Amino acid sequence: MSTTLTLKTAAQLRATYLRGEMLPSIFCDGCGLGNVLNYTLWALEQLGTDLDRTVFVSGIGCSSRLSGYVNADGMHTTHGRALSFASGIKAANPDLTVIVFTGDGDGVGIGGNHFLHAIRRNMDLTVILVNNFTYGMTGGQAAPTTPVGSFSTTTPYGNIEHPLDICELAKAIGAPYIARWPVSYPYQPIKSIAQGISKRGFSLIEMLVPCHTAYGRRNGLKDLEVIWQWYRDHVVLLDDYDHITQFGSPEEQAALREKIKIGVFQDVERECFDERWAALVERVKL
Amino acid sequence: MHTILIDERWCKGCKLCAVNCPPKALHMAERFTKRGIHPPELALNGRCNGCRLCELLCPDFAITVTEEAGVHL
Repeated sequence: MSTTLTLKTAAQLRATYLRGEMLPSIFCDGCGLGNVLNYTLWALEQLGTDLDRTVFVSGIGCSSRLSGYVNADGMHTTHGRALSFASGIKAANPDLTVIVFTGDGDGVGIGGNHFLHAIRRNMDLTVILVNNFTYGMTGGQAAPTTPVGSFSTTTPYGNIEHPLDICELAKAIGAPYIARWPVSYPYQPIKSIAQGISKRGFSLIEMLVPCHTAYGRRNGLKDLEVIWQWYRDHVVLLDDYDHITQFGSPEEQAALREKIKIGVFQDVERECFDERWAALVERVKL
Repeated sequence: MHTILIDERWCKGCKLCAVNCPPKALHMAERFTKRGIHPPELALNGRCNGCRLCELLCPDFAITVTEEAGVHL
């Protein structure tokens, strides 16, 4: 058998994976959320995953609408509880591939506690966390990830709270696979999502998605081209970050403070919940 | 020769494809679609190198790049 990738056209991909009657999507024009779904579909295509054995779970928010567009079983759950529902699905039926779409407000704001404990248990989930720095669907309130000094409906004089670095948090608790990519880079997220799905254990792929309607409008990034360019200018690859901290000039190091690290943060093996559960059942059975 | 097919039911006219096209082969058409937006179209047929970046970056799944021969005028 040849190992070359059979390249489908985008039209074939859409016909296989999407619910045509649900589209066009509800997202604002130029929102990167559609891209996140597009990259996920290409990753599934690359892996040859059976859609009948895949479950898409999501909470509440813009990003959580994504599960409705895929022609697979899915759950649209309560606010912040996507990971709890997904953990339940995985615990009940470990053969299923469970993919969770969640946002920054949904995943680490409202459902922050579930996020910690899903990683602690190391459930075999693939979490695609869409970070747009705001609560977009409810009108642009400040989220846990809103950068310092940003304006939102709840911080009209600028945000004074420090933002949460989701990838560093996940790394501290010990998630086996963590990556962060902006949505303007297509190939790296596809590869990361594919790696995350194949990984046994909790894999977190944080996607930086521009929200020009709720976040950009209040922060001088209203124009679509401007906000997409902002993301290109304000990210730095992990390797470059390390290189600049070690050898860079003081100016380069000062510029780093404004930038968001992107790349694969962690890729290790760690025993997941299903394996430990199976071992326990084997040990205590009569 | 590459052709670009636009699904006009789904396209929202966000211009991301035209902005991010490396050889600047796409531009926004003058005409309107049924949704009332300007759809992108291939301005310079020979200039498209088939990189499929527009297909990947389209948030609304509206673009397909095919390698079939285009219509020669």
